[in-house]
Amino acid sequence: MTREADSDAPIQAHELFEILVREHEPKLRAYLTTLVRDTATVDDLAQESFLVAWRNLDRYDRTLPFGPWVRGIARKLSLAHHRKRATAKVAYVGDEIVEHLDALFAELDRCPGDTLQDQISCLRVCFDKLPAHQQSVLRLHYEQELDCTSISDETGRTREAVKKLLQRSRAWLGDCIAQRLSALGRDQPLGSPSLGGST
Amino acid sequence: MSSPHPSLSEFDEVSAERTSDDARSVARELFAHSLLHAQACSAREGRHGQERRVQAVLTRLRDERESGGMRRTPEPVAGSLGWQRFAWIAAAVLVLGLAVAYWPDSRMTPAWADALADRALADAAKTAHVYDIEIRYELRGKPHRSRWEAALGTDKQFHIKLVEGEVLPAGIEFGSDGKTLWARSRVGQAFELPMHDPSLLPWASVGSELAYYELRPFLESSHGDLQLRVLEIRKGEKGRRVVLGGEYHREDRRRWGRGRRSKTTIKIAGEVRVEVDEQSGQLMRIYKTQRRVAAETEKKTSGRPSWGIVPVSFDLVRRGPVSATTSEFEFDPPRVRTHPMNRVMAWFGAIGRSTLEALRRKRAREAHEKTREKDGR
Repeated sequence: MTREADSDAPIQAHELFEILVREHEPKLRAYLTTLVRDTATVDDLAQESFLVAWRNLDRYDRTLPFGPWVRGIARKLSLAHHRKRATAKVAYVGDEIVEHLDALFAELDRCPGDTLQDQISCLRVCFDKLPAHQQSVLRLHYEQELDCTSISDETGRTREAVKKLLQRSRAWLGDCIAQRLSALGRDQPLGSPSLGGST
Repeated sequence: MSSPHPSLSEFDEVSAERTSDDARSVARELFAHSLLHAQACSAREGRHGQERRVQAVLTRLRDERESGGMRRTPEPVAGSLGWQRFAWIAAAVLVLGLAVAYWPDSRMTPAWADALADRALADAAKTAHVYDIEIRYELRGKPHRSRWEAALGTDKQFHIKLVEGEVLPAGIEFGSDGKTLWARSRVGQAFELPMHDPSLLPWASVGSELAYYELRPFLESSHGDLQLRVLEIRKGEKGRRVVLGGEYHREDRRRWGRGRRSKTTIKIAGEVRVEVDEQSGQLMRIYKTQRRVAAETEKKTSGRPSWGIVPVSFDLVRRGPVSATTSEFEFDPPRVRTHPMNRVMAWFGAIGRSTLEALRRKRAREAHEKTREKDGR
């Protein structure tokens, strides 16, 4: 990062920041999805977090990972958002839960892969271990964006049963992923270092 | 624009019914949910979706650079766009990889990240956002117009100038450093207002940038049954603007006159139009009208005109960001401070007035009950 007089064209800080934005945008959105429910708000807060990070980039110590820093900003912005919307139906998840989430995302950073999709792929074994009917319900819910009522029409289960099934599937998946991340962390302490994965 | 993803709203419904307070389990479930959601989004939108969002961030960064709103521009880093970029990335990968390898305790929120985030948020707000406001209203059948300039900073700081006015003299200024309110005439010295709490100004807590996601709940909660809907999407030189709008109806209760007061319920109707930059989500313009549709008065009394019944149009247009240190706007000017004793007296006065009002209501209630009892007999 030293200046070179004979450079063809200087790399501007914003170009480097663009790389960081590209690398971290999906994971930051995933992180914010756990804190706020509205997808438009997730997008807005992600945008705002990067903007705040950019404004302070000159103060940022580049030897430290970027991910936890920008996630820290996002967490505080989402908390401010919840405070402003004190009347909103969905409350802030709570500091204790957020600490656990931070730890899980930090472990995900260590997971091999250049992008979030690569990292998720390496956790796919957990999804494959789920019974077929649970996989099917999760697919209907997330991939086809069906709500519980539509899934209950589709599968012939009651709406309550679909809700419980979704909750149980996510809980089991969460436990499996956490254990796998922990194991990956032990087996591959360095993971596959990359700007996105390691930060 | 802000409708929740179906899967997310369902998740809320399920979460709301949870009885266990096991934070770790909840976190793991949320984590699984976020990965499932990210995976589904990626499959649905492909790279285009991410590219669109990245471009939105970059557009905002570009706007900031061009407007000079940033407090401190990061230093350009020398090098070429060719191999040196990759050399930098490789170096960063190595450094960051090592940093992760020697991560002290990955189960804790890193304290340095917290500290940096705190500092970043504190510094982020050295930018003020300037808006031009025009208010048109009718008083006793005569049209009036006033123009204001407003600079909004963070932490409820603001500075408003009356540029053109008819009822109030032009040049009058109001502001707040986030803790106290102050006022200044065109020729006079600024002085502190003793009995004003900036937190009572609801718009001051919306945020300086008037981001749509912050403004929408505020607008909808303060305008009765208002529900903003997308009306059109306009293409302009600086990107696309989403135009949202809706009609609203609300009721306002005002107190008229002094001494013998009576409650008046004013029914107000109007329209709100909002223009938002699609890329950044920032408010570009808001236009609002309000008019009285009916008033139900318990007892007719004379009194002063109320803004609640005057037909008003309000037009706010974003001008752009400026540095909060500019001399054009100041949030904390030198001013005549309110003597602490005066402040105390003002508080006591307010408490006294509230107490008298409570006593008056109590007496009225008791008198009403006595009358009912007599009628019953």
